[in-house]
Amino acid sequence: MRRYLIHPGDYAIGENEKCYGDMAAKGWKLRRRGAFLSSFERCEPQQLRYRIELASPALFDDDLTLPEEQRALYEESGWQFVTRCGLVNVFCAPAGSDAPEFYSDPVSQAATLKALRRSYLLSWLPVTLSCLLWLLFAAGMRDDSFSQALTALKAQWTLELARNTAMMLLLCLLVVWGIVSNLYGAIHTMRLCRRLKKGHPLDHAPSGRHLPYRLFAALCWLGMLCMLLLMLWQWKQTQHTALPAQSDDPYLLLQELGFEGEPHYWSGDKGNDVSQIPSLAARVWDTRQSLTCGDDFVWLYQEVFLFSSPQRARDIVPALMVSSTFGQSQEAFTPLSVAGLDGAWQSGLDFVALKGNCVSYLTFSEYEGESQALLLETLSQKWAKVLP
Amino acid sequence: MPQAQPMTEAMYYILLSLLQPGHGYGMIARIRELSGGRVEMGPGTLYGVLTRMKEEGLIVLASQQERRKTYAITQKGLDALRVEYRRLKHMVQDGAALEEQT
Repeated sequence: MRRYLIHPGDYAIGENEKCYGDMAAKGWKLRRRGAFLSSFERCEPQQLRYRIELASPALFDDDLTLPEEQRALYEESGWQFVTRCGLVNVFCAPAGSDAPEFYSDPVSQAATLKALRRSYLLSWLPVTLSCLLWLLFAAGMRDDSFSQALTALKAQWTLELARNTAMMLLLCLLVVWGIVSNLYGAIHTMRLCRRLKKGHPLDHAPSGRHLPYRLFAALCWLGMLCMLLLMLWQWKQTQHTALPAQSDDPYLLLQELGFEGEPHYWSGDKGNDVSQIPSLAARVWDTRQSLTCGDDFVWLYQEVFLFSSPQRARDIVPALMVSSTFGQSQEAFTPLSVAGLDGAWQSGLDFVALKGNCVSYLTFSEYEGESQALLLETLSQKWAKVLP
Repeated sequence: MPQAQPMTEAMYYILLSLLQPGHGYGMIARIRELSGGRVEMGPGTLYGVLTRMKEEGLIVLASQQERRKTYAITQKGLDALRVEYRRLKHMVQDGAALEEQT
């Protein structure tokens, strides 16, 4: 019979030791320690002393295990090695045994915190470097300046929040939890190090510490779990289907613009399909249609967002312009006046249309002004019919 | 100069215990015996100090049997220990006036 428990962070050495001792007293003996969870197996309730020793590898040393000599020394002194995870090594001994405390001198224990403190401080590095590289790559790909790349990133973020609300909120919670937990771990480790250097021994049985942080972490995890479930629900509800011949949804079909022809497929069944995404922030339709009309080849790409309020629909317009295929900036778009629409903008083959709670981004293959005017007029007429 | 700063108690007793080559757990027992039970050295403290003294050349690995390593004091370690012993002895002598007062 096994039981799992979310253990305190690696920085909370005394709390971990007390947690394992308390579990043993209740009849649950530590079996393994993972990154977030510890697993226990049923045993007779017993009084055990648990002690944690941190490995102290050099900066670029991948080997996080405790040196064999050190482990042997602890075992000869009466301690039994139980498990390890990362830098944390857990030993135990019966409560009344002669096994001595690992450190008779707190100052020498302070030195063992060096690698843990470094791991908290360096954990920021991969994420920061990845973001920076991504921005540089994005700026290079679009031949933009760094500030333009930042604007594009903000636009991408706004759109993804509308398309995949649950996933983006999950990501946000994960980042917030990661930043706060690493910062908290680093600060706590540095404070503990200072205490040990001043000669104060480690408290092996602290009580009621880190409660605000643990509450915050629990709320973060609960929020992440909720978002994960909502994300899975969204993925399950998302429908990818072939474009119908007629539709009452707020996207246009090339047939409604007067084009008739054979569907053209780019690869497999791609090229004439619609995805309906029930995001938390909006209902989203994403369509691609390609037709071969005699010698001509016509295509239309659309992404339609139906929000719960007109303000949210209006707010997303700049993001659609910045992330458009050809325009790529707000300045590239020219406002148009189309009867029945609250707003319409064009940049070459790119269009953005707005009415009430609904906003659409379209890319249309036709260059002629007549076809382009027909596109927005037809969209306006369709929205007048199908939008609530 | 054998040493620039006064030794910690742990360093002093470890070097003293290594006047005869010894291994980790044996050193803990030897230190307890040498100090008349006053110094109870933790295995973590012992391991940390051993590692540092090895780097500083005060001790050397004499032999190894499986996981158990036996250390011996070097000439540099012996010199450092003598300097520290003389420093402590002088300090005790300097404090003799305290006994006369009481």
